[in-house]
Amino acid sequence: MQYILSLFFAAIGAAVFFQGFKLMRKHRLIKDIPRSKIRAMAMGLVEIHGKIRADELIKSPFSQTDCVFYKYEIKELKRRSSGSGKNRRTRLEWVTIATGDRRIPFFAEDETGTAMVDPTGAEFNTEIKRSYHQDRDAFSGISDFISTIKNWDSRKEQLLDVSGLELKPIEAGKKLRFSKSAGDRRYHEYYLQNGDTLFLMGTAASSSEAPGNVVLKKGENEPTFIISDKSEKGTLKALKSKMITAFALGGVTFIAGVLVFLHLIGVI
Amino acid sequence: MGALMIGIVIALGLIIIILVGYFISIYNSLVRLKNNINKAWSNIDVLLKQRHDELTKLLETVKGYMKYEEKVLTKVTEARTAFLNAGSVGEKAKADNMMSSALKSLFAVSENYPDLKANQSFIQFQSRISEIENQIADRREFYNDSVNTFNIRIEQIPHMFIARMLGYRARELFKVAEADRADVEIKFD
Repeated sequence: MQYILSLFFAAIGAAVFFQGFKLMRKHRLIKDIPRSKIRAMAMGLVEIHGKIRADELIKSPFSQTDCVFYKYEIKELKRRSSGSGKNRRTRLEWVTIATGDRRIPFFAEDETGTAMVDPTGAEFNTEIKRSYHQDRDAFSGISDFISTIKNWDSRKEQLLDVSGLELKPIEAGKKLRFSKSAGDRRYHEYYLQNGDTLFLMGTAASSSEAPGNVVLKKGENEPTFIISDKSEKGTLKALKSKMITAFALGGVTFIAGVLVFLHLIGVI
Repeated sequence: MGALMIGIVIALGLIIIILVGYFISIYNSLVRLKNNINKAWSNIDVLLKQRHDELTKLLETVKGYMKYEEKVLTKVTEARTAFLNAGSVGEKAKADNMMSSALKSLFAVSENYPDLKANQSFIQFQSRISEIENQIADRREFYNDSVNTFNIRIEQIPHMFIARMLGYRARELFKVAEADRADVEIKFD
């Protein structure tokens, strides 16, 4: 069992390490492609900057904010133990117990024109916009609630009833004043609203349905499709730190996995 | 061999892999930048050709009305011929600047011909050509950004060494003529 576990860790490490090269490619691609104005956007991979404009909107699940994209995360504070005997230690850790997102087509607008954006398959890069805390006794049937959110995703007309959750809003950047205990939950929401300024990198393709006959989407041969409410500089910075983390974490995990395996088979 | 030694050897191996990957990414990046310039130029060329086609139709429309504006029409025709004969980026840029200037004069002089101004075909061609002109200006900016990125990158370390190996040289910018930046002078007799 230990052999398999060490090899498993080495394989995970190698996968994370090589993920670093994918991030390196993406980082270079963003640096290499200059910004296009929407009016003069050519077919193929393009980078544009524009504001969101949409007539049809969806509502985010917890704050009921009108948006074109949302992602939610539900985390639960769980007790984790490590070590054995006298060295046994327990600590509280936030564990993601549910996540999901929803996106609808919208328009990106700059000073020269408007382009339709089909966000299917896009990688959204946005910060948490709203967070809520829930005490452990306030709501117990989490699985029922998660399945309700997932079904609710496809029924946009209906509003999700979150009144029974007794959610306490957490202000961004402020420390939580109430106590934390195992079983507490956090509800995080990411969304993009009408008027938000975006950095977009995707494939411009012709479409008879879109105004101006151009739509920005995920390319058939080019997988890069980024929608971010950060600036180009901010997106590059985030990618660079992810890339360094992938190389460092992947490398260390790989080395540790290989060393443990070699130890187990008696080489060292 | 001790665990520490093996750990160091593997770590060095991973560092070498990162360095090789970095070298490959620089190489690919330079190739991409070079192709970006060619693609950006092709995208301008498509619009220049479209403008040329629209211009042929426009000239047919205005000829009947502007019989006495031979100088203006000749300027447009000359610019059109210069564009057809242009081969390099510099020559096409020069021809494009000539064309933009000639078109400005043509549209300015057309103000003196109310019948022409009311002609639906003329209005359509004028708006279409203005639209193409704006797109050309945007794509010219994009082309110059691509060239600028390439020219800076091939001068930077470590890109410079690979660029030299590949024989890459600085590329020419699509310059806007001084006359194009100035306002058009219109004289009415």
